Amino acid sequence: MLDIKDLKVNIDGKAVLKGLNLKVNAGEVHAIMGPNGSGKSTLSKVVAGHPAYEIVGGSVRYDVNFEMKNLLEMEPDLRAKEGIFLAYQYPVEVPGVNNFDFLQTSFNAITKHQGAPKMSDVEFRSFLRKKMDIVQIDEKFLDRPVNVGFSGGEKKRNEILQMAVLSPRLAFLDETDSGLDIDALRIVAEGVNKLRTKENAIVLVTHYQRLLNYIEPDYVHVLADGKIIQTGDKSLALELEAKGYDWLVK
Amino acid sequence: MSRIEQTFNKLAQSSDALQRLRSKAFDELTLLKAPSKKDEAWKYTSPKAFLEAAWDVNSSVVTSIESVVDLAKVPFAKLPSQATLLFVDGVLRSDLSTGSWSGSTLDKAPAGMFEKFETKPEFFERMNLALLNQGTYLEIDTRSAVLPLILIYLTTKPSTELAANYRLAIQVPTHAEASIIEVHAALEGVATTSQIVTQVELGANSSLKYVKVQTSSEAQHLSSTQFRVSRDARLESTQVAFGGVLTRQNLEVTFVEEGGEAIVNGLYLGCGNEHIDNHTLIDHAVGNTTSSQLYKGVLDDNARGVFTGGVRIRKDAQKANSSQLNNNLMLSQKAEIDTKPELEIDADDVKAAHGATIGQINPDHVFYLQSRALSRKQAVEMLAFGFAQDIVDRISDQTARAELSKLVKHKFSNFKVDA
Repeated sequence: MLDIKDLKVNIDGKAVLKGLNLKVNAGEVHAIMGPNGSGKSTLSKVVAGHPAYEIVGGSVRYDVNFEMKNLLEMEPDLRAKEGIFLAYQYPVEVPGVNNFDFLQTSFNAITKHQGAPKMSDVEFRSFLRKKMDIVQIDEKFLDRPVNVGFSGGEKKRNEILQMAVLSPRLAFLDETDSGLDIDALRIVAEGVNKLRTKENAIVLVTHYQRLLNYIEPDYVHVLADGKIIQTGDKSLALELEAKGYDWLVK
Repeated sequence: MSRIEQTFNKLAQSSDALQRLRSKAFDELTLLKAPSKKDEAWKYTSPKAFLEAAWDVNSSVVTSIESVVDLAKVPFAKLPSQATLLFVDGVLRSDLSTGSWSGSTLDKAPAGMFEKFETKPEFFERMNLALLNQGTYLEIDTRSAVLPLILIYLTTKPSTELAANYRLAIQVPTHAEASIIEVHAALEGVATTSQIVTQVELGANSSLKYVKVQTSSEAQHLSSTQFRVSRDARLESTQVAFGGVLTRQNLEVTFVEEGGEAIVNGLYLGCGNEHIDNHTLIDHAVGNTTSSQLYKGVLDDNARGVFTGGVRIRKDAQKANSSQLNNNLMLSQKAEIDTKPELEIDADDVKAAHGATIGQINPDHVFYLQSRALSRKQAVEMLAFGFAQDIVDRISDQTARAELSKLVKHKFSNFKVDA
């Protein structure tokens, strides 16, 4: 589904990713772990298409209608329409934009692109209600401006709600566990587990192992200094938890 | 001065009840110099086009309105109201107005009402009265109405043929509560000019919500809206301009007794070559009065905005409290805003805050929305809508809020959004 080869990325002239390789197939859950500043957030943003990053080498190919297309040539909104989703580490507050309108506009843009029929307001509201149950978000959040005045946990839950509504094929969850207390973490993780299917893939980007107690990954990668330096199964995460990153990053 | 004089003379022949008011205004007008860009008040907006429009007597009143415009398409015209008054090219059309209201011709306004509003004579305001074909005095019902009073001013003729001129005096009695929506519309595809002067007296303990909307992007529109706020009265004024070839809105609030409060908000949305100029003056003539101004503008393409926010706190107006904020969102490199506070404070125990911001759309916000499948244009429109909608959300009249939201959304669909 996603094939990243020898990806090199700069920001403000400084190399952040220095030849990264990653292959993700449908139905898989990957965890990317690594120390601060290793390039974890950069990877998610590059996949989503953030314009601030300069691609200096390598390729990112993504399956669109059974054909591996050059993802880097696609506008961010086209990537989203083709099923790529990024749950942000720091979701942006958008004053004046009502959460319901935002979700509906976003959902309509994707269904239109995919040629699916448009839902009426009533249909969408009832569809939305089911998705809200997954992340236990109260209906009152729908009438509030996107993320404005939301607590850290509420923002993260709102991200997972968006994921539930948009049902992406490939979701990057950037530090979704950061700033969450244990109850919020459980709700968010259970939400993600409910969205896990054979057809989609999830990439968890995280500093700590604790999220992986709730969402079990098929692969664990260690990202350090802009490269993936080790790949293993979930036991690698436990090893990292016990020993830290130093034994790998020499 | 010749055209103005001609029209004045033409009107004088009718020697109707307004003639006394016209003559006085004309005499004062002849002592005033026509404004130009050299005047501080017209520094960023040339008054030339207003001066050159055909200020004339409306000699060919539109008889069949249906043949000219579909009223259902005029914003606010068909909304539920206590009464909806329709003015076409400077003439009140009682035949096309609905609901119940209590009013008469302008000369029937209480003795001395106009004198109260006359401070420093201003050219266009005097011209409005000197050349007034018709004007209306409205007395608001003392029982509070649930629905608003809607005033629709429709201009159908090109500036070269007839500039529409109207004047309204409104009395809000003591303890009354009212909501008024003033709408200016023009025929699509016609370059019109209109001027309106509205003088409103808020009686003690009264409460007035006043929304003024300029809907036409092809029109030249000049307005002066003046409020006098009596003891413990409360004013909520919102002026919304959806562009205009040239829109100039003057707004004055004068506190004449203690305890008054005025919320004075505005929104201007300009695209193409539109030009919108807002001048405000809040006069704290007495103390223990509170005013807050918030004007927001979104300018796209070659649009120009002007905000001159005046606050005057007189010598004995202790404990006056005023705030002023002007926020601008620029969607193009070519758009321009001139924003200027004019504070004149002669009392010492007062609060007077002011600020202005000029900013662009936040690229991180755009990316966030794009990563949720919105195109760049959709993302910018949604963010600009959010910025503008803030003013609409502050309006407490539900009818105005709902209709304005739709108009704001529609306006943004005409934006180019290239930035």
